[in-house]
Amino acid sequence: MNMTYTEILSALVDGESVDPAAVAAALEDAGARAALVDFVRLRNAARADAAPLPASLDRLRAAGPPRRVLRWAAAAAALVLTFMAGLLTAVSWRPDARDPAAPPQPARVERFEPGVDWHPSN
Amino acid sequence: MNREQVDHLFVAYREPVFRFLRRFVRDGMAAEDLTQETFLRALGAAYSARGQERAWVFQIARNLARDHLRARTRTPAVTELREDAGRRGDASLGLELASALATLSDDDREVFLLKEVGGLGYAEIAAACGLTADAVRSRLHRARLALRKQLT
Repeated sequence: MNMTYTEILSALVDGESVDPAAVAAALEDAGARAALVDFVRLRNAARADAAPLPASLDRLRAAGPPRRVLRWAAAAAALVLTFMAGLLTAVSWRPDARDPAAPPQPARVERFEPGVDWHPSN
Repeated sequence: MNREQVDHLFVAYREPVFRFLRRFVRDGMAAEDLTQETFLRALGAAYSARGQERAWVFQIARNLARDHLRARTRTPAVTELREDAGRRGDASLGLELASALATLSDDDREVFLLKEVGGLGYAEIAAACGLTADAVRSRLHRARLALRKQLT
């Protein structure tokens, strides 16, 4: 198996079995030594996660749909409700069906009483 | 597996599984759900990997994470990990690592995170990902060189 210096040191960092002579040869190389240091830095950075576990992981929940599925279901239900509400509103506001040539219904009716609101002038 | 056995696995592995998933899918809330789902999948599942329970749990987790990434169409949320890196004080490398990880292929990022965050050995990663130990070593090496190049 032919491994590069950095590959040998990468495996060494991982605690895997490596040929000591190959490690010695790799460590003679300044570039490989620098890579080794960087591999350790990468590991430290990757493992530095001090954020506490979320409370949702305090215990294993009962079997059922996951939260994100429930969230999607809730969003879908809200959309359906909105659509239904819009549909009902449209139905209630729909004008009466009638002949399009017919005059519109009056919105207001003014009545004038002869002799009270107006007088014939003869 | 029965509930008692899975509860035991949950207590033992929920933290590394969650941290692996959070880094892999780059979405904390999805990682919480996927962590729960990982162990719920183990309920009633036939467990035959004797002595390799950690690899088995991580195999379920990575399969769920892969499915999640395939289904997800929105842009990965890198910002969340950036904020976390800033909180813990190693902002300089932590911030850049989150971005650099996002540039790796899913295959390389997965192997790197299973090793560095999950703490799995080569044989366990190989079992979890369906690879040979040599392929794991090679991918890890490739991922490290790529990250190193990004960060220098």
